[in-house]
Amino acid sequence: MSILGFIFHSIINALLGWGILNRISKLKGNFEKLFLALLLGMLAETTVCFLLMWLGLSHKIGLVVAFALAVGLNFQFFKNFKKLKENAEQAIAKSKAFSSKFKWYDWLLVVLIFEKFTFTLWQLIRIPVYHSDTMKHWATQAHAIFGGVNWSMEIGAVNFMAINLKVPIDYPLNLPIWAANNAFLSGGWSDFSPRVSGLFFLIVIAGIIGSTFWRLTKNRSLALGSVLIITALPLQVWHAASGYGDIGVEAFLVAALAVFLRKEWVVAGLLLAGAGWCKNDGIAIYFAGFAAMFFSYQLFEKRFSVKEKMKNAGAFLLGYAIIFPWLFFQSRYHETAFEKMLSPLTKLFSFVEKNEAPVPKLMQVTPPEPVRDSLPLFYDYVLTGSSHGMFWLVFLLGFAGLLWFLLKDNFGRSLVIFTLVTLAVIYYVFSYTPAYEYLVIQTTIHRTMLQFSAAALLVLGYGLGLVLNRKPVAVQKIKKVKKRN
Amino acid sequence: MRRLTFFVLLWLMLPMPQFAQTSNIIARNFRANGKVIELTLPPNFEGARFNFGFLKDGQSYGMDFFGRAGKHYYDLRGHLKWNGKIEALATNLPKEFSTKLVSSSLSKEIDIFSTPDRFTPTTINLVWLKTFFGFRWSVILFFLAILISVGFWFLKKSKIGIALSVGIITAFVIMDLRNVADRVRIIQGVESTYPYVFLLENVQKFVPKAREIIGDQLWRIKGVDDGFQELYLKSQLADLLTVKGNKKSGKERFIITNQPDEKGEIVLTQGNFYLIRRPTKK
Repeated sequence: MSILGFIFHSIINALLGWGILNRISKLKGNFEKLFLALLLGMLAETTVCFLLMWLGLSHKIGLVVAFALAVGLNFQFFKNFKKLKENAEQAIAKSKAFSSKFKWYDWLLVVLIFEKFTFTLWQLIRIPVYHSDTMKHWATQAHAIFGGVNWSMEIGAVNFMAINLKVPIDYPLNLPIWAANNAFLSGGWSDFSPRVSGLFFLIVIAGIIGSTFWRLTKNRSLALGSVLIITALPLQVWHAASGYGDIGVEAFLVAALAVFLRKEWVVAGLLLAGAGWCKNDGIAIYFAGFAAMFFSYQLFEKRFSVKEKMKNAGAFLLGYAIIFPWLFFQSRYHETAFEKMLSPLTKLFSFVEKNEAPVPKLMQVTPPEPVRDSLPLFYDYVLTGSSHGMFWLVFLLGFAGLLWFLLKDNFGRSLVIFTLVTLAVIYYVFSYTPAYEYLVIQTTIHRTMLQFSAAALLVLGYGLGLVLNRKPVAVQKIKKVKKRN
Repeated sequence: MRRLTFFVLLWLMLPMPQFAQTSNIIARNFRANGKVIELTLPPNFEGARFNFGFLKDGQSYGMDFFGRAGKHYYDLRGHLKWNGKIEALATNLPKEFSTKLVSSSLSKEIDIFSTPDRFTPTTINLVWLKTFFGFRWSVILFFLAILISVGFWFLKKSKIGIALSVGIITAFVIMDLRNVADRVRIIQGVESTYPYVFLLENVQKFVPKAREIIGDQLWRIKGVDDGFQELYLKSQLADLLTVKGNKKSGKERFIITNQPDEKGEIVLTQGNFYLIRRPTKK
């Protein structure tokens, strides 16, 4: 029943997202659009639920509204059943044609990729809610929303956002609301519901990475290889069944990047907001790099007039504004995410909090000499440790090797800015703020690097696409001569 | 940073509940190069977490390991400081276990490389360091990727981008096959105790029975010793009306606790978990 509930829930999300994409983007029907639709549908569903819950209504009403919207937005799509059937047949034929050319090594990759999904599903079915942060907030909040008696959105209430269960209330509600809805659609609560979002995100990450690599390189084995690389990251399969928000940030971030490369500004803004709606890191760590990338692209794009650039920026910010109601709600009882983002910076310029206690207390220590103290830890744990395999070594090699090609292209330059700013923010957070402790004890640092991994792989994919699709020098010269004439 | 490392190590060196004593010095003043640790553990130490700590240039360092029943080898060579002269090597395991420093060999390397990953609450945060012939597994894979790429480039005369991609994907396949083996062993371990999992067995048995008894009456957790199990209880019972756990409200009808002497009637016992019905106020 839980699996059926999940499938039905995913269909609602896909339809809702598809309907929205048809109205706000020029994306044509393909697999990439389907994966984007899943995420966008989730974002729309949980946002509607959140707004209605804020008004004092049940999350179930929000789900009904989302379902109605999903049907309503796709009414034309359903009406033309013949076309729907044709599209489905075309998609099946395309998939068959794609897989009929598989070589033995492609099948090996497919088997290994399939193993990740099987193992994730096995965990969801056979292991209970297990990892501490799932129990500390996501699953507990979801269960409280589902049950209703320990949940209120009224500030000051004894059960405000389940604080009577000692739940931290600064985490965004995307996952808890979605999990509560999933439990409702599954006919009751089980440990499957608060964690199956991880499988949902893993499917989306694999789909977006694979389809984008395919689009950029036109190489089937490379597309499959890229999916293997991202799903085979040692922590990925655990996060895919844990119920943590990190894999959600990873999925929304890579999706935002993929649509940025398709010049879909509103959708990029929406999906970036989705990353922040999964976990605060989506705002605190990734907004700066993404915004720098976006504005750098607009600034150096010669084909856009100033008016167009302004319009694009407006579209991006309009999409991003979907997170504003949550930030406003949060600011009423808590310091805002923006204040949180700025507080480490203000500390940096005033004083660095040092731990003077004889025994270290968690989150109370920052290194006196960050470069000397934190860089070796990044090398030891992230770069050469086993938690990411050789991913970050490969990334550094690939990034350095592709840098020249990336810098010659406007999208490439923007991606370089995105990468450098994001890495700088991660370094800053784990070196200059009390989060340094989470680098020392190897907890959040690995989750953060996992969040960034799919986007980082996409940056390499774009660079690789530039290299592989590069015209021979002679052809380029002929083109230049033709242009001059 | 040094002070922090020292205290973290100090914490790691504290005795674990099942261990009889604190640090046990294995060797003093030796050269680390190429040395691994041979340790023989009884079956009940399978999966037990312990620590090897060492002193070098007056600084202490350490690494955590999971015990493997029988005679196995443990590798500190992946630690960046495990080289040159070491002043002392110690463990928080009891002294009666046979522990010695030995030079490595092929069979020992294979034993170290096949050390299984464990399913524990920390699995979500990190993967324990894997080494092969004393080198970090991820670094070996990286160089292997480059080697394969160069070979592919020479033999197939392909574009550099393709050759590098082939090398990297192949190295990832090798990495993944090693991880698949780990996952198979984890599946076997979890299935052997299904539906109960490591660290949660008692509380998993307790929850469904407690739910039935509590019904729609107020409950709260009080005096549960293990924070991890308390989190599980909280997440499982979050749909049943509770009161603020950190304040004495006096309204709750049921207490979930590890302390059987709490005021009231014990209505359910499961291992060290008790469900206590509070007397109703007259």
